[in-house]
Amino acid sequence: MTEDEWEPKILVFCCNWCSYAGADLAGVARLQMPTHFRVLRVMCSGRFKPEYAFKAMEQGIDGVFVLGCHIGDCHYLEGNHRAKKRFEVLEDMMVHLGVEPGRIKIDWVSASEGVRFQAVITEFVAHIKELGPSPLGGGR
Amino acid sequence: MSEEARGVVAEVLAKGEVDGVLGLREDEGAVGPHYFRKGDDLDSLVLSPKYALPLVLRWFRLHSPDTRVGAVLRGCEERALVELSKRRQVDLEMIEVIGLACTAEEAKECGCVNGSPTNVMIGTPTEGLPERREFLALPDADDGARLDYWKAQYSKCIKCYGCKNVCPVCACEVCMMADHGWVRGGSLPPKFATFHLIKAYHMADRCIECRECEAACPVSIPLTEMYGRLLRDVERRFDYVTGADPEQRPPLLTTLMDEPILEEEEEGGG
Ligand code: SF4
Ligand code: SF4
Ligand code: FES
Repeated sequence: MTEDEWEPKILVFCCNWCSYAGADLAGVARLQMPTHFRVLRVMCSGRFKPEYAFKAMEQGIDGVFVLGCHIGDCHYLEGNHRAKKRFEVLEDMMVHLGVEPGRIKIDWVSASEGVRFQAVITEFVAHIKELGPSPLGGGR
Repeated sequence: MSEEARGVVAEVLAKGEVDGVLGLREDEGAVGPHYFRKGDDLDSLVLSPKYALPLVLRWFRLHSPDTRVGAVLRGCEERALVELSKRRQVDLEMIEVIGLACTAEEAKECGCVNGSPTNVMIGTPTEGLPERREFLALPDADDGARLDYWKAQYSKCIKCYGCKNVCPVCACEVCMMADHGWVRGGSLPPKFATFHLIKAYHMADRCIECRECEAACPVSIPLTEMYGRLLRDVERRFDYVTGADPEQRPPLLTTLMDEPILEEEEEGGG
């Protein structure tokens, strides 16, 4: 595959109660979005652990995006607090390892924010395109 | 110093406030942990080579929670004990630390910056340890040189699990590093870089920088260059210093307002 043909592979973890519904709403409303991402539904953003990002990147994923309920709205009260803190450590790890920390991102999208889902996804995909293929690609 | 230690342990046992003392014993040239009781011959009690006892202490909480145990521990081991107690692996109330101060030579060998245990009963604390650890300068991140550095380092790994086995704060029931779903079996080196990043992430809020992992690593991977940097980040972000305050909860087990997350406490992991 040449440089020009490269298209990013992006994994999006969406919490069941807010962000997945937000994604659904964006879909139902037929909002236009890039198609470079796959959504993985998890019950809560607190179900996401940095280990998933390591494994995904080892397998050739170029960017990992985690979406949960806004702080204060988590269905399990504190799941997104945990996700947020884990992310800070994960970002530091990327810096020390020498991988652009922008390849991983966490944000909040509620069930009614289909438009916001469209916006954050579009922006993230554009950013990963800018960064190019992950240097961790395929765990070489 | 072993002679001094034998005297101290004999005294502690004679006082009868503990049921026994965990220390090291030499048996036909081999040194390992041993539980000394009152009346036992203490001539075989030794202090080196270093062997981290905190994980051995975990046994007492699991299998004999009413036993009051004394333990001959160095500074780093005491700090490891603090981290283990926060994850409900040991019961500090039931442990009397018999503090052992490392010699200046030992401290230098480990690059120790943290120093002696709280209650030194054996040896004399070394003065003038460096305040802060000096890290190796890592290559630049921008042109990929830093990533190349870690690739070169981590690709030396022969997956012996020495770094995990000697670590006094590696206490998970099931280790992800040994789970074939996470790290494929039967191939070397482990694929870059899940194996090493799992360990690094798990160390970010619990490693106490004893550097036993580096001493154990047969291929000299500078493991704590990553762990130590993460510890500094955690300190800066969450005001958390590992091994220091037994009352302060690990930041990854609390909410954004530093309130406890309850069910996690039961789990013991993180
Ligand atoms: S320095 Fe190594 S062996 Fe010691 S606590 Fe940290 S990770 Fe474990
Ligand atoms: S001790 Fe070194 S070689 Fe052994 S598993 Fe750990 S990093 Fe790999
Ligand atoms: S349920 Fe949505 S973040 Fe916890």
